[in-house]
Amino acid sequence: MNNLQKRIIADCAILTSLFFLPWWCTLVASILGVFYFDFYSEAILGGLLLDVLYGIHTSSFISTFPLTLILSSVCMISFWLKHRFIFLRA
Amino acid sequence: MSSLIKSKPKPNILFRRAWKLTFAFLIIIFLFYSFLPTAFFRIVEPVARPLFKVREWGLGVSRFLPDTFSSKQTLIQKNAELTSRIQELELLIQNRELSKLGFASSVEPFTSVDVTPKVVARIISRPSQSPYDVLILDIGEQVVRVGDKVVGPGSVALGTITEVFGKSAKVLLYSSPGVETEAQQASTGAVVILKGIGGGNMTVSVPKGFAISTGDFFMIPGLQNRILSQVGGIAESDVNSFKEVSTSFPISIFTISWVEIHE
Repeated sequence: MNNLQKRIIADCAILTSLFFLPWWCTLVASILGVFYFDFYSEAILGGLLLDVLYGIHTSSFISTFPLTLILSSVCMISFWLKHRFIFLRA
Repeated sequence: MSSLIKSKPKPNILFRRAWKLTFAFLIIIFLFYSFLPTAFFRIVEPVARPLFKVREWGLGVSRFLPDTFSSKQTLIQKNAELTSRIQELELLIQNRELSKLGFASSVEPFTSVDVTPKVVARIISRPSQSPYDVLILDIGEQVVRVGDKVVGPGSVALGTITEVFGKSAKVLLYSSPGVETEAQQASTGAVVILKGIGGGNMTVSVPKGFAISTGDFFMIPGLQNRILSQVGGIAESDVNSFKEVSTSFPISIFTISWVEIHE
């Protein structure tokens, strides 16, 4: 199984977990995906969907999209870590 | 470990590009949030609603299937359902008695509990699935407005409608973190501000001399009395002049299936 196939399966799993599993399953799966795949932007999209589906629109951007921002930060940190540490590279 | 650390990493084009793309994505989300705040949910709602319904159906089937093969299980479930029903009816009785008393401190008795729901809606997503204390309701073709009150079984006040899109509505529960709700103690009529802390729980700090005990009810002040929460625990210490009162909805928000929506 090549990397693209693995990635598609991971995307489907995250999308399914969004609707059928508790929110933290999506969060954990997204974070694992970020560290397993290169530039796993789908994780940010997963966070955005969680916020859009289950969150409430407030006057603050941070409190409206907390999971999107958390996953974006995790993504950015992972880019930096992967850049610094060889063993984290896929 | 040190052998795995590169001495001086050179700037990586891919690394920079990834950062730029993430920032660009966040800026796009911010622009949508500022100028088209409802756009995301409008796009996702028609896809999400049937999937949530499938999930609810699946949960129902998963509860029903084992019972068909085990009579003991059926009895246990029926017992649980009847216990829950008794609890709801007890709450209704409690509500009516409190209505008759008019909160002890009031001059005139309050009016009776409103038993004519405006709209009955099915819950398609609840806090165990969502990260926030938010319910998603399937309202069908019924007319629901932002600001309408949501009432659970036993006339328990649960929250307020905050967003309505298509055939779905979002409810912000009174127990949602940061939400402050004015409530009246049923036994004395004292008014306090309950602060939501998530998971169906609310908390309030009261002076040590404040008369309150475990099992006391808090109600939403208004013409139609509705139970808001029940005191579950009181924490006090010798060094603090206040005591922390923990309250929660008297019904489980994780298991209810239907709610009423009132104007």
